[in-house]
Amino acid sequence: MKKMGNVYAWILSHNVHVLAILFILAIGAPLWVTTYTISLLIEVLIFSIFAISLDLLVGYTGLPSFGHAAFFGLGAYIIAYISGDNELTLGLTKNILLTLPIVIVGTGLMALLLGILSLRSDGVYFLMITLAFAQMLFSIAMRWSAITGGSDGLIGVPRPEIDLGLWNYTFESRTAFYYFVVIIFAAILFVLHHIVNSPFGLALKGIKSNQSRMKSLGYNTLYYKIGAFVIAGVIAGVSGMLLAQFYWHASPENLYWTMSGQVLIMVILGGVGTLIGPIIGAILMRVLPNIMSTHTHNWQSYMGLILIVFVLCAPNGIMGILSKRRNKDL
Amino acid sequence: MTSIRTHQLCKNFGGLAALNDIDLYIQSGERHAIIGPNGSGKTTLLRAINGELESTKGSVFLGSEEITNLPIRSRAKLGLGCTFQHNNSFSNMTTIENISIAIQHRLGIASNLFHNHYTLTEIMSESQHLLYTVGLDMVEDKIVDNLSYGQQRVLDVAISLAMKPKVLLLDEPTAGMSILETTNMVKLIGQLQDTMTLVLVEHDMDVVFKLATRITVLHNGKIISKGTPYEIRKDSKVLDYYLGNN
Repeated sequence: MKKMGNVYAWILSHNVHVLAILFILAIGAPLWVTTYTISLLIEVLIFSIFAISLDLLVGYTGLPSFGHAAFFGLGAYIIAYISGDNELTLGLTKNILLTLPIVIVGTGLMALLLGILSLRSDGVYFLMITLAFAQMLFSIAMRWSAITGGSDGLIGVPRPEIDLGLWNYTFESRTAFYYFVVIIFAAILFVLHHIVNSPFGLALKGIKSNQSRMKSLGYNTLYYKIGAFVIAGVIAGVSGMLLAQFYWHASPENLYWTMSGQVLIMVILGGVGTLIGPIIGAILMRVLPNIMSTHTHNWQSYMGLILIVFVLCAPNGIMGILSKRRNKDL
Repeated sequence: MTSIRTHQLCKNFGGLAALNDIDLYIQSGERHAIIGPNGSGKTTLLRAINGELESTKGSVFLGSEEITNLPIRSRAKLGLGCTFQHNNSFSNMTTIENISIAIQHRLGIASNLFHNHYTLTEIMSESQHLLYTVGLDMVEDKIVDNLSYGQQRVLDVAISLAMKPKVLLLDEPTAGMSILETTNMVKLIGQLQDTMTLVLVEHDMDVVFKLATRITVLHNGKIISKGTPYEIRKDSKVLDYYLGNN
């Protein structure tokens, strides 16, 4: 046990080296793994981005959003609408230099609107408002078929392309798209790591820890919460965009409450307020069903059991178990 | 230099008048103690001044500015700092984070997204200096939950000092402290610059008479006496109601 703790302590004290090793492994992965594994890796990375965006709200700011799929799905529908190739969509461009800013602005504005409306409430009321909003978007996606394609969603979403006029490149193949997702994932992790360690990030932690004291220090806490909500919404939107580009499809399922629930479970399972925890949660939630479903039809029951055990025995998630072990060893 | 004034301030909880026509004038730089038996309205008065409680009637002024209807954060911006009856710090964060969170807001850099707050020397050096001054420099990286009760009380005061308030309201800063901790707290409060106006609610009369330059005595939500510590000691009404004849 002590050995495991030491390994963990080493990982923490050499996190730059660990990141470098992981990055090299990620770059080299397509050389030695199957295409199925590459697909799984892409999914894991996309859901990791989605989960760390929610961690900024749940783990750092103390805002239990149960409607985070709203932005995930919105990102998917926006990219499908502007770049998709079918009779419902505009099919303007698949140039990521244009589409990414549109997805960012679109999901950011929606997050700003919902943030202003919902963030005056706290706790379970906030949870219900975010859930209601996401379900409202889901209903719109299902009913307004002329625009959204109804229950079929929007198909024909192309893979992204970089077009600089003289030079262009399309991330068409699975491997090329995998690298594209790795770059976006690394960039978002880098940005979020900076944000949570910035004065703004410290203010978010303060709001989670003791909001009334923050007010007595003169903080306009609403302003900070809206800021966090918009950042989280935009990042969730980008992950939704990537999923649509990966499956060539924006589906209403991306907006459904089970998607919000799934990502919330990833964050809780991995450990809130750690950024790394939700990534581990995303890996488990995407990989475990794949492994278990090859052995049993009842894999969902087993997943449920695993979740119950975690909630009862490790309320701080996997990162909580690891850091407890480390503290004992030190 | 800022004074605090209340004019006919009332606060009712249902049928109970917790504060009844309180007219209080606390000059800038004064060390003003509010004393009285349990339930006399001391904490309610402090909370009505800092904005935690909405007053039923009357007004509150900070200097020449009326703050009666301002929310707590706007009062804080105008220079009103407060500590609370119960420890009210950021308990799952480190000691130095508790201080820097107040300093970064005062310096106007709390919205900074891209600098690591540990590398911002303007925040860190001031935080470390303040922790040294109040005697918490040895525990700056400890999580507040793991500090002793006395250290947490000191930290609570230090967080408010980090705001550099013009007026500081202290609600029973020595409650629950050991004799040694109380002595240190009295020393700390005694050393505060006299440009800061201090309003102190306190049960420990030794602390009150060591620190206060003026005292207001409350009883059942009403002011029954005000004056210098010497005058209060001699006031027969106060002796009857509160201090006792011995």
